[in-house]
Amino acid sequence: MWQLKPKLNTEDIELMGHKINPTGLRLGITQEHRSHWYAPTKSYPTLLREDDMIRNFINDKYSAAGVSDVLISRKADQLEVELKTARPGVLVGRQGSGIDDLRNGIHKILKDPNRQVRINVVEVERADADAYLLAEYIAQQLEKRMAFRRAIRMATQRAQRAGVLGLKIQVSGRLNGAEIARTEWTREGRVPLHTLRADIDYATKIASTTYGVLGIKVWVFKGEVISKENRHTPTGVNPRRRANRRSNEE
Amino acid sequence: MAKKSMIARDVKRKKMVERFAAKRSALKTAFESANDPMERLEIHRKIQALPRNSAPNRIRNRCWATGKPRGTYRDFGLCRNQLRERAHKGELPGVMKSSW
Repeated sequence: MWQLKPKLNTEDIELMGHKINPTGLRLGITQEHRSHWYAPTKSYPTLLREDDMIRNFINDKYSAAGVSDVLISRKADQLEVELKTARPGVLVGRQGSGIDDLRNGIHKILKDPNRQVRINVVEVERADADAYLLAEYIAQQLEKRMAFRRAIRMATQRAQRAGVLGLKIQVSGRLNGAEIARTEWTREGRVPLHTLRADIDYATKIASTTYGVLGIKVWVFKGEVISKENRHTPTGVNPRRRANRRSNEE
Repeated sequence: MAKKSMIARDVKRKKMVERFAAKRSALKTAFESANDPMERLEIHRKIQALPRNSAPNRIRNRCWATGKPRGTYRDFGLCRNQLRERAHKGELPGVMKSSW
């Protein structure tokens, strides 16, 4: 009996699955905006541009200090910049010289030396549980030509020691310089991307090697948030206690 | 990314518009207030004599991040792609995924 095969539906072929950025999905809940301010429509783009220039400046200058996040908030012309870093010592330098440099740099960018700028340097509690820092670590290892599987394994071990509920790492491109690009990923624990109350730290980083560009994606699952007060069902190992906040006011 | 030369052209236009803004608006008001057709003709000639790049409608609102000439939003000054990327990162205050 002849079976009539349906014609290949071209629309179905083009529609492949896609995942949205887990951070973007959770902005209203579980994630905070990286820029916190209000601006009327006319000045919004200008302020946005300022934010961008500040972020670029910080990332270029302090890449060695492991800056994982830059939070910018404004309150009536006062600008507050909060840097989250794993090595605040490197950032602050001796007697706070780093912070002064940063402030001068920002004033130069804004072309207004009279702007009020507050700078906060906050230490990240568990540096090995931070997606951006892990991604950066992997990227650096790859750029140093380490075998990618080893780099991933080392990052995984670090994260596990830091007590993380779930971790997923994906690396794509010419792995180990191969001629044909492919993408590999590993997962440990749970990474429930569909659960909105799941605190998932996601980060992307690019590693440029002599063979080309490798893309790195890291997902860190830190726990579900049940109520607003106690975020983070606490996980495993306690971090070493260190001086927590160093801030500098103008 | 848009060609640097194209972005540079737009920058040049913006500068020209600013330079001639006052003169242009003065001429325009004069044109509107004048009633004599001969006078109007004169003023119009003067307006046409101004450099073309001093006309504000020649400026193209490009994305400030990539210089993309199309798909730019005035509210952000960004093109659609940049808008999406930054919104996901949380770098656009007040912007979240809409659902209702």
